[in-house]
Amino acid sequence: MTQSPEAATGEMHTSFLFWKSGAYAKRALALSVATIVLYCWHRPAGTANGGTLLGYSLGVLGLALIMWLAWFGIRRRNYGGTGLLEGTFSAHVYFGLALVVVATLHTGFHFRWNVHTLAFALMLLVVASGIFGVYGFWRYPEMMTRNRAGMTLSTMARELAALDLTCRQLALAFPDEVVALVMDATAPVAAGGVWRAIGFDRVQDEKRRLNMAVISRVRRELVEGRGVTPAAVLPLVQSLTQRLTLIERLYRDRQLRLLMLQWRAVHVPLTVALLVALLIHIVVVFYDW
Amino acid sequence: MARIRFVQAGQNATILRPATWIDEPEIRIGRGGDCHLRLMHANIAFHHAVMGVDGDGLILQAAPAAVLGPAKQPTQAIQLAEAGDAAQIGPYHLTLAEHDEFGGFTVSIEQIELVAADEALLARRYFDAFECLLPNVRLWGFTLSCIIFLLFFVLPAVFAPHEAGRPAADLALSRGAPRLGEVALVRLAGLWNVGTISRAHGAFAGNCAYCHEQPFVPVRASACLSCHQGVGRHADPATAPAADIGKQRCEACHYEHRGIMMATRDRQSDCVACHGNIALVALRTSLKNVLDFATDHPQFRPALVQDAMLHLTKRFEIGDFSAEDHSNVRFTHATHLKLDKLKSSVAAEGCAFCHESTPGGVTFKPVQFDRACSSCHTLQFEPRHPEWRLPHGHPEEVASRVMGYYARAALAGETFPDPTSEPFFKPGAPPPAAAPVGAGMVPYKTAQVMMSSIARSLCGYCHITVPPAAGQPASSWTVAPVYVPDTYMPSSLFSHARHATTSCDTCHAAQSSDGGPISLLPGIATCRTCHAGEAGGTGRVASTCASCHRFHDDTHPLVTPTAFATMASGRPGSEAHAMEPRP
Repeated sequence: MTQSPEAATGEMHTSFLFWKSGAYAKRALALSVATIVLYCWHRPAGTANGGTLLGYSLGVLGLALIMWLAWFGIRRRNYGGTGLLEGTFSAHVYFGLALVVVATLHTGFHFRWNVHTLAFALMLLVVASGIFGVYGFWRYPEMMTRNRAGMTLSTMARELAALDLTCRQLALAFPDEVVALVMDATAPVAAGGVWRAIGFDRVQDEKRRLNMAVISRVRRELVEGRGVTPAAVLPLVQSLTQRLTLIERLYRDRQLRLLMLQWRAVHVPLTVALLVALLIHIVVVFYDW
Repeated sequence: MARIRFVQAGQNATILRPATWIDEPEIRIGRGGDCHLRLMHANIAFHHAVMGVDGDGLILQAAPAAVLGPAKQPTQAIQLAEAGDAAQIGPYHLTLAEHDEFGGFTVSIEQIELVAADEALLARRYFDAFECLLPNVRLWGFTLSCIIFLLFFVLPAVFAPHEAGRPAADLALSRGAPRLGEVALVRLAGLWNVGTISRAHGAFAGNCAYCHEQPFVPVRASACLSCHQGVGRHADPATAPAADIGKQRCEACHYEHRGIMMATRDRQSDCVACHGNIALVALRTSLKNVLDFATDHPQFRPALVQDAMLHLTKRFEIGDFSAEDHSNVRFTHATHLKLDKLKSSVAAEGCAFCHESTPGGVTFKPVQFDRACSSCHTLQFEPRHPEWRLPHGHPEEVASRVMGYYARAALAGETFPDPTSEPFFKPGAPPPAAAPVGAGMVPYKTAQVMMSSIARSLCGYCHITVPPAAGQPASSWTVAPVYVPDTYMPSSLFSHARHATTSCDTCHAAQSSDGGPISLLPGIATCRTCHAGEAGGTGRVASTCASCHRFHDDTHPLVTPTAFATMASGRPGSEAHAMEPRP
């Protein structure tokens, strides 16, 4: 299952958060406040829990919200990713947040090592991953656009390949030591694993040090060691420098896209798991009624 | 002098120089600008090899740091003796194509390895490497769901005890240390547990089926009543048929899985729905309407004894001066608390001098004569022998004890005053005449003591005594039966232990109580100083009906013992536990 980077980094904005002046935000807030007021007003025998009249009501409401929110994901997939109505997405986000309030009140703040708390914990994780997704949509597209400087991943990849070959070709005119250096430096770049890519800064520093060292050595070898004029070395050094800049862009781009997209790798599987845990929760509650 | 020209073969060769004749002693081959044949490839050294004439052919000699031939068979020199001989240098094949009659050699060059880093391929590689791939979220979701389903549904459903009589039920009843496997079963059952089970039912926590008899069927009253067999209805069905709870589930009011204390419905509105106008649901009841303890609650009506023999009581309102208590005990707190001896004792020990709490302190044990009264009321009946005393609590033995004493005195030859005189004469007065001596003295003295001392000054001082019937001997005086109930407010749930922080006289005006129990019991105004209604009040305790009143009337049990036996025999696991008292 892949996500096209162009689709991911395309025109996704955070304007859905302010759709119709935050109409769904207000509704979700009203729902949350209403449930909190009801919870405070309700005086059940013993402690509040999911088995009181209000508890059952909040449970039904929470279930309805979860089903609707999950259906949103299915619908979104069927629409092909970007065919969403902005308003629906806005509602998804805000009612997802309201779900935390509804579900928490449904529990009556009773948490134990059981399938019921598991369902609640999964719900929290799904919402938390969703919050990170929203943050990603708000934070990263602009950084990606700035980093890409008008290029796409495809053009960056083509340009890097071209620069690799250019550097190697330019290096051929120089002694073997320089060729070896340049060949090493222009070996195909590995993107690395997801976690390493997310911790990009360390990778970036490492690559930069390596490449800058190569460039320095090339210059030192030719200009100081063999008396080659700086002008003759300049095309190679420029190409190596351009290549280094491009590699940094690529790593940064991948890091940003990972941060922006990988939340879904948590959000979707946990949603599926939540639905199963929820089904068990409901069956078990009425099994031992 | 070698005369060599190089020609291109194949599509991938790159020869910078045109195929002109080169006349040099040695033809230099490499990437260097001073090479006669420049092969611009990374695997070609700056000065890779030299080519010269060797007899009728050519020889290719590698530079010290370079090699010729394929990578697997590197060599330093290769001869090209005849047309068709070839040598590999880097990715190129140099083949001796022709040796003409003028001594010129034509060598063809062909690149035999394609350019590895083709730009398009490399670009594709970079694209794939830097593209963000989401993991297969459906697969992850499916896997995670399977794990959850297995751990949290299949395992508890298959292995956790869901039937009465399964091992965990035995575990709940066992007194020894449970085995690890049994604990694991209980833990599995706990994965489905919706909340903390009350302390009272904690022993059954390992087996859901103990209460949840059938899947998807709410807990039935029969499950509760199989243990709680003495639970009563709310009221007499004949008096208040509308208040019958026989067909309701216990869970309508009692909620399990809500903490270590069993939660019980105690909303005042539920009670006031009927008790606000009780006549509508119970025509013949003597209960009065009530809406709220603080604002609309009738004055307390203690149940005073009307017949001590039959334990009959009648309710009188606090403050009703016509109230009569016939417990057959002559006692007032006011009189006793004025006595110097009692004052000092009460000052030392307080009310506990006479009133001993029951374990838990909810109420008090019946006042015992030996503990509370005997230090003052010695029950001596003959001043000459104070060690002889009447047996308290055994009126049938009183006459025989007195008669026995005087019979012993007669045998010892002792004399006593005239039986017709008072046994306690005033100092200075003439002594009474001597009584008969010998056996004749015994009935006289016995009758004298029974009539005067016992009927009036000893037993009669505190008890109602009954004279003998006409024609019966004087020794047949009796003491009327005594009945002091444990509580004068049987419909309330008052706990003295919960009020132990206040002194007794806060509620009980014992110092001035001289009119029986009704003068000692507090009225509703006293309670209202600390207790408010359901809504509560500033500095007062919010109190609902259930704070003071018991809902179930155990005098009208929900299940008769016969019905209980029938019900228990049909219960799951009844072979093991049905008729046994459960822990």
